[in-house]
Amino acid sequence: MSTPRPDLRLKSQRFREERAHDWKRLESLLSRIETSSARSLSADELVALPALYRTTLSALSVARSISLDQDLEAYLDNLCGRAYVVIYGSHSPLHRRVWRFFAQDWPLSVQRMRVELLISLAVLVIGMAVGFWLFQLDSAWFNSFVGEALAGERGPTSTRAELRATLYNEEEHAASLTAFSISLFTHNTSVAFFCIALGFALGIPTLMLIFSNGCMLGLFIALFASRGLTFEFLGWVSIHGTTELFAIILAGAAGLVMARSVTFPGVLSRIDAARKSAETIGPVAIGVMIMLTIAGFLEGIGRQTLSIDLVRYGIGTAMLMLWLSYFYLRRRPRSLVSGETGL
Amino acid sequence: MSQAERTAAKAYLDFKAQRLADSRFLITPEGVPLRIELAGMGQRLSALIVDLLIMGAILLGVGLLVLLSALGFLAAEGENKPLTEVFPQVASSVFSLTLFVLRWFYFTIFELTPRGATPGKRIVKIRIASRNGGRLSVDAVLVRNLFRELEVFLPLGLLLSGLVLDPRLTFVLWCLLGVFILFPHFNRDRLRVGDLIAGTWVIQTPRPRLGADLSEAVILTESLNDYDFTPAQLEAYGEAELKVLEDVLRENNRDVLKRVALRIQRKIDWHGPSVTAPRDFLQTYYTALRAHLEHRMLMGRRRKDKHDR
Repeated sequence: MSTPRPDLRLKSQRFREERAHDWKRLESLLSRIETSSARSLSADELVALPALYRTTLSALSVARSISLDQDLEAYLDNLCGRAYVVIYGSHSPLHRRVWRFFAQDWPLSVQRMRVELLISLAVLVIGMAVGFWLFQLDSAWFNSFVGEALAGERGPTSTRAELRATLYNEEEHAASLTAFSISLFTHNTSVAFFCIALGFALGIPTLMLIFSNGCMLGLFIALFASRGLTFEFLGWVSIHGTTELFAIILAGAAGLVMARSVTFPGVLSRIDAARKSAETIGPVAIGVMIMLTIAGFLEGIGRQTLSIDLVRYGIGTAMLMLWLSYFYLRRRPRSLVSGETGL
Repeated sequence: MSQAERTAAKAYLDFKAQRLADSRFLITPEGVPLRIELAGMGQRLSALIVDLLIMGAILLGVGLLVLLSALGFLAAEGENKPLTEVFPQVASSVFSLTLFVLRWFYFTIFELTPRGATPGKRIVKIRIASRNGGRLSVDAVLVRNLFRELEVFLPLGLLLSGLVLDPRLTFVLWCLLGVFILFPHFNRDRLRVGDLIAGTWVIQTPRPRLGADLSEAVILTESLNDYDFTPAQLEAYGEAELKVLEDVLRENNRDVLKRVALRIQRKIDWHGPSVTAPRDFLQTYYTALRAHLEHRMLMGRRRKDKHDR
């Protein structure tokens, strides 16, 4: 053909051809960000990204009004969606987020849970009292309540000497006590998270879990008390026990916060209230995990090296004071950014 | 229409309706609605199964490592009595620690990456996203995965351990667990309890390639000008039918192309040259119809489907 053909293409086709280059560029930038990270882009490319996003977004609007090519519209929809996720996420650096968690989010969340904390504590104490009383009635309750992994070799049939040996590290018990401490750690973390998760079921399972944990503790105390080892046992427990029990009480309180938000949502819908409660519960859940890990370390160290009762009590009290002051020291409340919670 | 055609058409319409039902719109700060699609239950279940298999494989790997190292120790030191005593406990400790880490952290850590998806989800091409369009916070992902314990691991543990409890207690327990497990089926956005509390949902992440423009070939090729359509013939269909025609052309199934070409010829009362290549006919008709409907769109007289006047 010698004479040039008139351009008979549809308007939408010309529109697409003019802009296809920009879209391809945006797509390649996005796939690089998604597979590695934004750091892999050069400064020029980073500057170009929001501009490309805006032009693609306007191209999507135009395509919706002048083009009937649904493939094109789906492609642009998807491209803009991916760019949106990349561009509108907040990008505070990790260290600042971690600092904010420890300095503000966690303690403030705990402060907000005052009432639930007291309820949780009360239920735990009642559980302990009941466990103690059950043991006085019939020592067989110990075996039915406390699982084998937690009991280890301790039980109503152990002698005073055997029980005493478990409190002060004797070599032959080392291995079984290690296994015990790991199972204790996993058990406690599971209990803590169950408390939080089951808060959704109106908090009743949460309370039951706290109660049963209190019972177990009460049974243990009663067992050691029956052999006259109360003081020593409480010392042994208090190294890690103050941290650990605090963590479990916090977990129970978090579950109750969720239960309350679902049962009494106030002016919000139940779904919105539940979502709002997640802002309080999230930091507490992470915090509970941290506290239980610390408790695990304390137990491991304390068992091996510290055999003097007064030192054990001292550490337990010091940890309790530490946690209380950390949580309840006065702080400037953070400003609430909608949709943005802790980290 | 034959029975087979009717069922095929119905299946296609159901598919389209489902896709529409799965769509949600997110409005960007610039005021443009972006469309996202929720992941289907089948997809989520497959992703979960793949993830559980991966976790099982990791556990197996760790178990093998422990076994091999223990054997190595035994071989090196000969008959070492304290070691054989301690070994079962060391093994079980390592095992339970690995299980613990996997159970609580596998999902959380992967969902906190920028891709927002565990390996199982990546294979199925779905991901987590925040419902209000913001960024996923660590709290949200953590809280979301707390509930997985109740929906996945506890039932699995109960099933695998073969614990036999009082039948009534088992029934009550499974009822309670059933509420958590079946929760996504009871709400429109397919939210698990964890999703509900954390403000997230699971969406599809297709990576569509931009297909060729179907009208391009027609306009640039002269041989297809055998088929000319009068405006009356182009008035037969609306935008909905145009979309269906586009799907048919992109799918490129010869049988379907032939049948659709015959139907269109019948409907528009085609008296031109006989159609030897259905695809060319359909592509030309598609181009002409699209030009016609886009022109109407520019004039503000859109035509949704063939019944719309």
